[in-house]
Amino acid sequence: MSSPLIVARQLTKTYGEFTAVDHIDFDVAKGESFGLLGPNGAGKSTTMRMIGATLQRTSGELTILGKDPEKLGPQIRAHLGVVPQQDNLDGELTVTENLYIYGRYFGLSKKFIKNKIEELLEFAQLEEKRNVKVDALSGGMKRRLTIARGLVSEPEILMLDEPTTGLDPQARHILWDRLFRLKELGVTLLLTTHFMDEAEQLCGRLIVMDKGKIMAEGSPAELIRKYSTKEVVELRFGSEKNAEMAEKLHDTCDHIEQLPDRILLYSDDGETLLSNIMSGGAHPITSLVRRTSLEDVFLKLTGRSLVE
Amino acid sequence: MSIYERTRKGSLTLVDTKRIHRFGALFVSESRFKHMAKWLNGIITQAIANPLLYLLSVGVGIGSLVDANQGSRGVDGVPYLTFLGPALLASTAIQGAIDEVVMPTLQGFKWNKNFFAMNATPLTGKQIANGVYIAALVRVAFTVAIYWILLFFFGALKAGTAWLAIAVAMFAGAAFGAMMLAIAGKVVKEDFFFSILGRFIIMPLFLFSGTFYPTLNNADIPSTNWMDLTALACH
Ligand SMILES: Nc1ncnc2c1ncn2[C@@H]1O[C@H](COP(=O)(O)OP(=O)(O)O)[C@@H](O)[C@H]1O
Ligand SMILES: [Mg+2]
Repeated sequence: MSSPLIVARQLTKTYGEFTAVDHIDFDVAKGESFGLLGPNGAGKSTTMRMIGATLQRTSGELTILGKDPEKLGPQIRAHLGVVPQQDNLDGELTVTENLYIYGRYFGLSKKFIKNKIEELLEFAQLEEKRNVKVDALSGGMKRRLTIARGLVSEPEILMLDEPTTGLDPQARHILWDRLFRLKELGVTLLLTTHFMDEAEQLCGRLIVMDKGKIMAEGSPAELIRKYSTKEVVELRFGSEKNAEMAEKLHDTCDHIEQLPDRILLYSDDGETLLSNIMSGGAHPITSLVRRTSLEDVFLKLTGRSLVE
Repeated sequence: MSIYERTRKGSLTLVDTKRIHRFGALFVSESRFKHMAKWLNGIITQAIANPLLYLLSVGVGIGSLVDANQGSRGVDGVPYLTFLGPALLASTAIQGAIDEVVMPTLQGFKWNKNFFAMNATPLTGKQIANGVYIAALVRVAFTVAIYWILLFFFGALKAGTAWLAIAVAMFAGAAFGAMMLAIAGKVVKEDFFFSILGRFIIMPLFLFSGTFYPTLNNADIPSTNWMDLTALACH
């Protein structure tokens, strides 16, 4: 097996007294689609910028493609495609002009870029918008263009910082479809997100981050197996009665979480648990049995929700 | 091996870091030219109309008054228009260089965050700055050349060495451009700095540095500034 594309050991970034990334360890292998899942402020973007060789680490080791970003920034950046959290397209230029100038920053020939643009427009579903000024595009289109731009140099690693944050559900689904295609094609993806459904769909393996630290690591299925049960029963008794009922139902299941608006009861067999609870005389206003998700893993690990 | 792996060459073969190391700044300039091309008509109109209006109103208008009162060798031994021309040339170069350096820098750091996009590529910060600078100087060279041609047609250029004024004006633009690029990079968070700069430094420099009247006439303090140097080449 070839050596990992990214290796981080005790990677740390501090801003004055504040530690944004706190001694984290992880590897990313070629062809992997690796995720950083965590709430706002977890240190995801800071980690991405250090890997992207645009932010100096405070301590620890970091190698990308076997190189140290502190010493060989341009040589590393030559092989990364970067999709930052905030789009930084050139609003005054058109869609194709944006792809063109970005390709030039990688020293690519005009002829190569010209052919590549056609492929990227098709990928980003922006053929009709090729000569439109970027300022006039919708948020979802801009995001797709930023991703296409990141692919112009056929990078070894495509880095996506919160690719779908701020998009409406439809735009998100189009984007997921595009990213899923990249994943299938074998592009090495490194992405951050605070959406557990996004992490589940796109990441083969991920680390769960909170307050600069890694809370857990594994594939979505592994994490769920390790930190949660197969299913969860969601019950609402009304905000006054939730606490009291949580107390009462405590012994019926593996684990219980009480949120402001509902209580979550974890069990490998949700339906049986629910019918036992009902026959025990409880009368929830609503009840729902669902498969557990990374959201539940995060809740278990930190006692908080991913999206506040 | 996936389809992607078979059809693509990959950045490891595609991207030539030596080429980027050598030509990176020019790729940045190229993107600046794409921007300039968006308002090429405006650039050309400005390059012609600006000197034309100045030369007509101040040069010919005020000049005829000056020359009527002081004779046709009225200022520094040359007609007023000949005196004024080179100074306008230099100040145009300076103003142009500043505009073409400050605007993209503000834009790059603040408005559309272009520089952050460039910074994520193999380009270095130095190449980005150089690229913006080179493009600014090309724009200035164009503006100065048109100015010079107009001066020529107005009969403001008397001496055989008058073409040197272009070089001197370019030096002036280059010097101010470089200085402003350095400042702009540092104070990019303070937009207001540039309005202050425009109003209290550039404008007074333009008005009181011998553009419209000879500095050596007014004070016995020896003054060497770009305007005088440019004038030297023309007289
Ligand atoms: N330049 C900076 N100076 C000081 N604090 C910063 C800076 N950048 C980020 N931080 C802080 O570091 C923490 C992690 O930020 P970030 O990596 O952006 O988190 P995430 O991307 O996971 O939302 C946050 O608390 C943020 O306020
Ligand atoms: Mg972030």
